[in-house]
Amino acid sequence: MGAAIGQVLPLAVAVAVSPLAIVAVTLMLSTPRGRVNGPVFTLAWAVGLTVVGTIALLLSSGASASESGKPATWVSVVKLLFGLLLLGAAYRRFRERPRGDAPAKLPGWMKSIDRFKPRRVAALGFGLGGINPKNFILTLSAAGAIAQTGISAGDQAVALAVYVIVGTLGTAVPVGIYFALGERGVHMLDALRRWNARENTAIMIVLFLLIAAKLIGDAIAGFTS
Amino acid sequence: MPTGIYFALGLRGAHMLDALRTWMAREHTTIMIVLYLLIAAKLIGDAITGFTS
Repeated sequence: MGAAIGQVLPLAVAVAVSPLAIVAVTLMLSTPRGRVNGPVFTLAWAVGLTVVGTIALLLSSGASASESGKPATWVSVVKLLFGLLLLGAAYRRFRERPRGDAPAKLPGWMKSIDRFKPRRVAALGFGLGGINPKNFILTLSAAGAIAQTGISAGDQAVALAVYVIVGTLGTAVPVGIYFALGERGVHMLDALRRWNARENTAIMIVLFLLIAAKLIGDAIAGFTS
Repeated sequence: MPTGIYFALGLRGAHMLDALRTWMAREHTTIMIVLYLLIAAKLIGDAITGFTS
């Protein structure tokens, strides 16, 4: 079980580093609705990761992801494909990066986020946590890594739980600051939001490059073993 | 790679290198923070795997 936890830890940290989600949750926490919306968003994020992770675990345990101890060819093909997609995404982000003093572009829904009802907040958290392409690819990789260790179903569930908890830290920590520090936390959350909004592009480019390198490396190792 | 761009693309490459340098200089701190975080997670994860196997 420890082996599986060790393997998914870097993937979980890559999930936690989600600038847009951190901007979204800190924006919510700066509104009167934040007391409800912040925890709802974080919980929905964790549920999204859990649902996608559980489905991926069940599928990769059942779909013979490994043949006599080494990953099946289709697993390596999928990893190579995802790796190349992420390389392309990193390049596109670089082309569209904010230049000079231009403010970073944020998605349109971010402007009306202070008026979101809890139900919409939950949908947003679920989508950003479970389904957004970066987290989706990471969760598939994590499920594959857990399944490949060949541990019991109970131990697999524990490893997935650790992955979900660490992956939720990015949005849970701002919520924790909000409830633990109250007024004093406002400045910290403000600083956190501004930094993540400004550095969104750079953070995502580095993340995409590293995940792409990991996936393509895995694929090469799989093809040649 | 910057060296490759310099020799392969000539003047057009100069603009690309210029853009790359400006961006790298501005985002240096952020790039290093993300790198350190992920390398730390990878190393600590490997250590956990090593201790328990």
